[in-house]
Amino acid sequence: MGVASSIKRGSAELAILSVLVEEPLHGYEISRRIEEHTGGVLRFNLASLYPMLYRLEKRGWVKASWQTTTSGRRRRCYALTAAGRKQLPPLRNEWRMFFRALDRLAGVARA
Amino acid sequence: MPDFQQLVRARLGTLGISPALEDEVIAELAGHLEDVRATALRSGKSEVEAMDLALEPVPSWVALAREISAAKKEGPMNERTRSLWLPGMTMLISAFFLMSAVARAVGDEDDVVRLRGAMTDSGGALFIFAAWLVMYGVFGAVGAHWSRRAGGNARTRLVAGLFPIALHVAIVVAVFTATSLQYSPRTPEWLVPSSLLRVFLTFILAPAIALALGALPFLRNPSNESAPSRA
Repeated sequence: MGVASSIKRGSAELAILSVLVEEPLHGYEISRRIEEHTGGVLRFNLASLYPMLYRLEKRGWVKASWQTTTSGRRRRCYALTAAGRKQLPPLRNEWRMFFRALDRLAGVARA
Repeated sequence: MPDFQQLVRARLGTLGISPALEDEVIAELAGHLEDVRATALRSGKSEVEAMDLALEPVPSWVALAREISAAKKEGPMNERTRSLWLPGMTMLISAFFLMSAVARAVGDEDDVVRLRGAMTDSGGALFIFAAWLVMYGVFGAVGAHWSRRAGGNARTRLVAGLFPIALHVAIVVAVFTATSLQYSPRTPEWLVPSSLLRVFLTFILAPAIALALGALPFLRNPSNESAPSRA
């Protein structure tokens, strides 16, 4: 896996886990929240979101269950598991360190 | 409204995962596309624009199918093992231990056929028989509940709940075979039709009914959860 795809994947994991800390959400709502919280900088679509969600589910970081909404629609809602919650602080730290390093190197923050 | 499930299924093709899992994926992706389309329509887009917005962000459905397939591929324990074999075998082993305990309680741990006779012939033993059936109800319930939690469908849950009956059938077949192979000038007592019927009723049918009754409440999904229907 190249550096670019590692960064992409890592940031996607952090984004998804971060919005799921707030409450369990279905896929479309996850993508909407991420877009909203990042002012449209991070966008997920069908192709980028679901493979990632399934990988997180397989790792046991999120748990999905089918729920029927008041309007009668069936949605697969994702909730953070205890294991997923544990992953969040080290992930945040990693990213914080990554941005600091990048800043020291290229002055990203001052650019 | 377009049939998004059909649309997604046609584009994704076969994912190489279990049909139930594939249905889940298709239902979920179709729901996402419905949401994108509905949001676009609400914001004033035309039907054509809304559909484009829903479908355009997927550059390659083949690549998406490959990624989903890789992400969903089973780990060391596959779906069937989790939802059928694990709960079923655990309940079967529990039933074996219970049977051994009951056999010891009535003083004959080797001969299950005589155990059945002892249990049905005396009042006290009838109580043990009833308690045994109640425990089987519990095994049926635990097996089906466990299977449901592991994602088993209604049939898998029922089979997981009924698993201990395989032990009973195996015992009857083993005893029947062993008795048949022994040379004896007269037919053994328990091989006459009336005894065989009694064995079937008390040792196969009654526990099977108890297991099924225990499993019954867990064959349906909880009210706030529903499995996707096959398109």
